Amino acid sequence: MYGYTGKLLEVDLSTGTTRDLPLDPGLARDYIGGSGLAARLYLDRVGGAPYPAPLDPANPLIVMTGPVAGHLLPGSSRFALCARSPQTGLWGEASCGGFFAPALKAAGYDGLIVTGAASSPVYLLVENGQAELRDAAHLWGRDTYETDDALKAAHGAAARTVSIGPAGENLVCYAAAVHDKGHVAGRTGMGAVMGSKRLKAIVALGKGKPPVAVPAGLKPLRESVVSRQADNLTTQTLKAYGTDGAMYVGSLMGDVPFRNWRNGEWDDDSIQALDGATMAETILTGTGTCHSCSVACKREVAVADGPYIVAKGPGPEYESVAAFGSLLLVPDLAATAAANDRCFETRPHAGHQCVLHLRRSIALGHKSQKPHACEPFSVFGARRSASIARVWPASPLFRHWVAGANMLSAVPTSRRNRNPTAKSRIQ
Amino acid sequence: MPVFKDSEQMYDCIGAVLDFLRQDPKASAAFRKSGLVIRFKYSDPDGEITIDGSQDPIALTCGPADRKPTVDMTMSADTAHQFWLGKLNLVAALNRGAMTAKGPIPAIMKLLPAITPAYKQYPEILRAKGLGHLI
Repeated sequence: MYGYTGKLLEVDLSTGTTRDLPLDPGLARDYIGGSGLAARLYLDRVGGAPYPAPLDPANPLIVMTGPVAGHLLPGSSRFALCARSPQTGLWGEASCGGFFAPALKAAGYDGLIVTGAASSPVYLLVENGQAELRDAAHLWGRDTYETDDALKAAHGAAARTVSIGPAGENLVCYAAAVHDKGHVAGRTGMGAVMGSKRLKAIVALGKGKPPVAVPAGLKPLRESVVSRQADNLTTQTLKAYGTDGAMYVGSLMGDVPFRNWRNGEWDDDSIQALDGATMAETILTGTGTCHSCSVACKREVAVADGPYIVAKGPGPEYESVAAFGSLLLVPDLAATAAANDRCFETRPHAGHQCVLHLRRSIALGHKSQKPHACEPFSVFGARRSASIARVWPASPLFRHWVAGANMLSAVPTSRRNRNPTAKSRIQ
Repeated sequence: MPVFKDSEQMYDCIGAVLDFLRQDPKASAAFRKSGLVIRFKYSDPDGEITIDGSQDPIALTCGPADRKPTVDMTMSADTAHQFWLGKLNLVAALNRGAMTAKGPIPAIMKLLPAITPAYKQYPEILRAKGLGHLI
């Protein structure tokens, strides 16, 4: 079987055991890897309804690559984290680029099937065909950047990591998993599934290479794809402006969420202020790329002055700019970059989910049942929360949040839970 | 069946909306700043229109131009018609190859905000020419 390593790793965190499973060539051919293959394996494993609860140890977490992953071809960086979603209760899958998929292939596996739950925090080390669960007590509570630093210090710079931060540990239902620094599997709460299993991180490294049917054909194929990309308007836009290059184009088609989709339009200057072209002219300091990709759509930004200082590092993608910009009618790239940075580091979750949570808190005026990045907002009554949303970007509260301050300590007790049953007062 | 019955009608309509942009202060300033020479190559019916932002005033040529383009944009006349009506899913059109471009693409993308006034103008142009049924 070409393209694949032909092996899956099954990990039972409850017993602390691992074992290799052969990858069925028929399934690999029929489902072509990734989330499709993961869904098939998931259903085969759990059987029919009732399905295990999303945060139940019996809910398998499946990490899956595809046949192209690990080869020197554009688009070969992706992997998927899949499980029943704690956010929706339905099938959940989060796709992520970066370098983890090639590292997992190099470590000797096409995918991981993780079941059970550890009694104390652990991380999974997969290296050159061997797997081991290690104690992660010293990492628990750390943010994803710190975790990545610590794991790379322990296993070398070639190690690739997928980790969770405080949001995943505390089972925030839409918590993301973060690969290395700034590559995010952001959708459907796979970070919370990792947290429910007390799986702090997965580390992959190795020197293996998946077999190729016609090795001599790989280089010409790559050159052909790269050549076609060079003439493609979409990839050129991605290269120049990143995914946020879609902001203005999307607005022309009514495909940008203004004020949480309540508005179909916004003033032209504000949209341009958030567009990738503006980012390129203002806060952009460099670009980055995923494995074997010639597009390099990743943004690196820095904000040196003003209320939202951002150290040089991974910048916001379109989703983050839309979440913290157009959804809230905030035409300020520095503010969105700062909020994005905060999400990356200590509160790893998809930005738009954070904003939706804020909206929901505003609408319901209630306190969240789970620890949450937006907890400071959710403890207010409806009127107060609506007020915060209007003045959010200029608010000291927002600045405290971006700065990592303890928000609750900054809020007078008298303002908390003023009217927990109030209905929405947003006009 | 194509929207435009022949190249002359296509030049009359698409050429008019580009001429509107040529005379619009904001759009013409953006074109001049870009310095781009953009050639639109159409099919069904065949034709080409060149807008030359390297000159002052900006030059517009319906039909073959002797100016070497810095950007070539290729699409069907129907796609262009849908674009100016604001009915084209631009991302889908680009991804499916209904609209292709060669040249400094980022510079073209920067022109987009300048051309939006033409979206409102194009239906008026068609109506004024007695072609309201094409809207």
